[in-house]
Amino acid sequence: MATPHVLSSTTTAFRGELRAPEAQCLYCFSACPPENEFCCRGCAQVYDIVNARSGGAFFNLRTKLGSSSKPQTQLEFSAASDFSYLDSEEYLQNYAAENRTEMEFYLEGVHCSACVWLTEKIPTWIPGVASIQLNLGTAVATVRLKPGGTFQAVADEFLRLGYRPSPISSGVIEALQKNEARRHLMQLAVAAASAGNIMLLAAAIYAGADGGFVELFRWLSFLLYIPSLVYSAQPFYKGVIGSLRRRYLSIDVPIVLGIAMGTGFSIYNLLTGGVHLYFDSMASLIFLMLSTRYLLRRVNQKALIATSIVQFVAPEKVLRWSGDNTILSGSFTEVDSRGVVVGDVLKILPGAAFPADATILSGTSTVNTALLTGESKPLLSEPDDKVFAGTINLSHPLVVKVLAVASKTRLARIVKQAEDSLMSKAPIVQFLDRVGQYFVVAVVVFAAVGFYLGYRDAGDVVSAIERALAVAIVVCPCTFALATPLAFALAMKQGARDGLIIKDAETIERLAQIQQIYFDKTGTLTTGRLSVVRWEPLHKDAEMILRHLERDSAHPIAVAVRAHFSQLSDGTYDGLLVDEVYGLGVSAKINNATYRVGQLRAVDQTRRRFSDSIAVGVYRADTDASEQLLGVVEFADAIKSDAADTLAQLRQSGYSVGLLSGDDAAAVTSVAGQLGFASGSYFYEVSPEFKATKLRASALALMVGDGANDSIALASAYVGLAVRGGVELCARSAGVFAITDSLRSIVNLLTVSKETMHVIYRNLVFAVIYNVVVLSVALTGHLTPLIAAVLMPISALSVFLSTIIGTKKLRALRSVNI
Amino acid sequence: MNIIYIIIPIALFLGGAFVVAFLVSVKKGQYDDLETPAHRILFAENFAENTESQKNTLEKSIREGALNGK
Repeated sequence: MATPHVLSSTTTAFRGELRAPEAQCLYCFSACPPENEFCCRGCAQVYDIVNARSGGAFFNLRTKLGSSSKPQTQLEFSAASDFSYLDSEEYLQNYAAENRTEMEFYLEGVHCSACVWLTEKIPTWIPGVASIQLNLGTAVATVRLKPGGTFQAVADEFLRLGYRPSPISSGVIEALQKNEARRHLMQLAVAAASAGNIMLLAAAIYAGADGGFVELFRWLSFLLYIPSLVYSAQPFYKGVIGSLRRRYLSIDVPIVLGIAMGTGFSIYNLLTGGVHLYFDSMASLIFLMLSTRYLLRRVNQKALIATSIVQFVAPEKVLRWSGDNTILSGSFTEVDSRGVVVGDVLKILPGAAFPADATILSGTSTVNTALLTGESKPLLSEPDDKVFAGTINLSHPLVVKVLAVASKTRLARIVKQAEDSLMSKAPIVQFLDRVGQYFVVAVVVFAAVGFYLGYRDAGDVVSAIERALAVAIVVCPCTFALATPLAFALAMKQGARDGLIIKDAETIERLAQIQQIYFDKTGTLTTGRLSVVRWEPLHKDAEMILRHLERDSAHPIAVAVRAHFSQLSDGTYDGLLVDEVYGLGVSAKINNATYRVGQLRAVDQTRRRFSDSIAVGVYRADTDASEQLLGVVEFADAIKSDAADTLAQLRQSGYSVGLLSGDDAAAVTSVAGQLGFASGSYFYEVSPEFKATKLRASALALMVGDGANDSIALASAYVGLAVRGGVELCARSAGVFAITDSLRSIVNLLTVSKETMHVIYRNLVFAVIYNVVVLSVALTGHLTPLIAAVLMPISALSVFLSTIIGTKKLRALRSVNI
Repeated sequence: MNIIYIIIPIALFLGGAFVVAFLVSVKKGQYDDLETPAHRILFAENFAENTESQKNTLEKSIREGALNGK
């Protein structure tokens, strides 16, 4: 009743896992059940159509090319969702753009190029749709309507084709970001055209053009330089203004200083007939700096997109009161949670998450607020108390009145904050500023020294200026100030690809030094979900009773039962009335007998086989007799499939690995034994405070744990890696935030960090040697500004190449991993 | 060598035209997504000029596929 949708998809995913995992979808190569040729309806349809249309040519072609698609979790949709809310007035106001004809959807289940074809063809058979464009990288489809079209029709079609659509609000910030990205690209293009053309003219002058041509070329190169100076270099001017306003020196200051000196001196020479013009070197300086920044920004934005998509916690369906507000007549009907608006009265059942911020009208229940506060202890909530979106109602039904939805909820504000802090702490900004502080002073000092030496040696102001300029140009900081953040950005990109969001550059630096790794148990090394480890039927009907009784419950045990007995049985007991009492189990009456699935009686405890399991019995009680045991099921929190491999690899790489768990001795010892932890390296029944103390005492330790329960430990560790948990806490306490369940990416993360730091150190050594050498040559007057202007880009380029080549190994790593 | 006085304006004009063309394409959003077009091209042939009857067949085959539950 609560969320049939979600449950069925869990079951399907599980089914695929349990059976032969080598079976592949004919279309997209994802894993699928062996009795099916395709993983989803979308794939089956496209396969048929494409095959018929291209006469089989496409699939032959694809076999040759090989597939680049990555297997993902499959989704199956049992019930159609009601998308009528999409076209409601309030919704269009929040989500639609371009005069309410354009809306963006995040499509779950998009993973190959056929998805692009299929979704973009929708306008050919759904009337009223102008166009659909799908971005494969972000899985975001932009839908444009013609007059008379509805978003509901398009959303229904998406769902029918096998993609679950979630509308995305295209806020002001996203629009600004998009415009900014475009502007940067245009500035870059102008700078490139300007630099290229000036260089052609400059080459002609150096090659010995004479007479009137020289004067013409000189003026032309000045003209060509103007767009670069006025338009393309704007980001540097803005950077300088911003940094001066905040009273510190950023890396933009020496760049603008160099540009100003070079431009001024060149214009002076142009007017007075002086020999040297530096328009070419200034233009290429601007172009090089812009292109590096553009690349960096692109890399970083990709990581950001990944983080913002993770947060999708609202339930699919909620019960909304329809009728008058006096609660005298009317009833609760099931609606899509995204259609909820402020003022709605909702009924939230136990086990469901709140879809919006709300205040309780009636009912008393406990609420799990771990997502927001990290507090794992349930909070008692009474009428007039507030409840927040994303938190979970635990024990009793609640009737609530909605106070805030979507981007106005507390959860959304927190996510926004986390994103903002991620933006402001971007490593480029941080690092450039730090280096800039020292560099700008050094450049000015050295230029002054050059001026003084030049004046002393040659005795005239012009050669003094030339020497100062040569110094200013040649020590341009792009050598390491830009290559270093590039390396960091590449590492972060690699991390994001593996499902790990790295907070900042400092985290990478620290990860490279890690020697010890501590793991939390529940949810980190184990799946954090219960699954059936043993089923002992004592009666032939036991399985059927068990399956029927647990059919509709949202309790973890019921979910595990459904996952284990995946086939749904025939409808013998359809319409069975099942009573569920929280903490006790489920029971139902069939033919005068009462059946119960719940706690084992004390006398049956001997049937348990595993000490760390949760055991549940299936009982039958006739009207006259006492309970009879029909079967025993044991559940345990299963160890993740890649845990053993990962730990073995980490041990092999020389890390010392430990286990810190708050769980009881039996459970921890069992897991530690299976994963090969030596005695002394694992600790059980420890408090969060003990974990923190332990981590503070270990010098270079990485803590891998739950973002909510282990937040203190994560914050105390040298580096914290949060595998799941509250958004707010993860952003605060951990340096790395995993959006994947896989543990293997941790091995990659450590390798990547080490390699990255290696490349960075190599670049720094090169930069120091280069700068010392050229600086001494320039200061003694053996370097003309012309040669300086050639040397600077070459040095920048070589560091660039070194970074790209140095991270090549990382890219190889990636292909192995997938 | 006087030809240079003609060639240079032509060269600058051509260069400028390409820069302007690029700026316009950026403004129109052609560079916002650099990944999908590479995939899109795989399906471009034949489908682009769907006639009305082809459209109907396409629609039909998709609907049938849905009904068959595949």
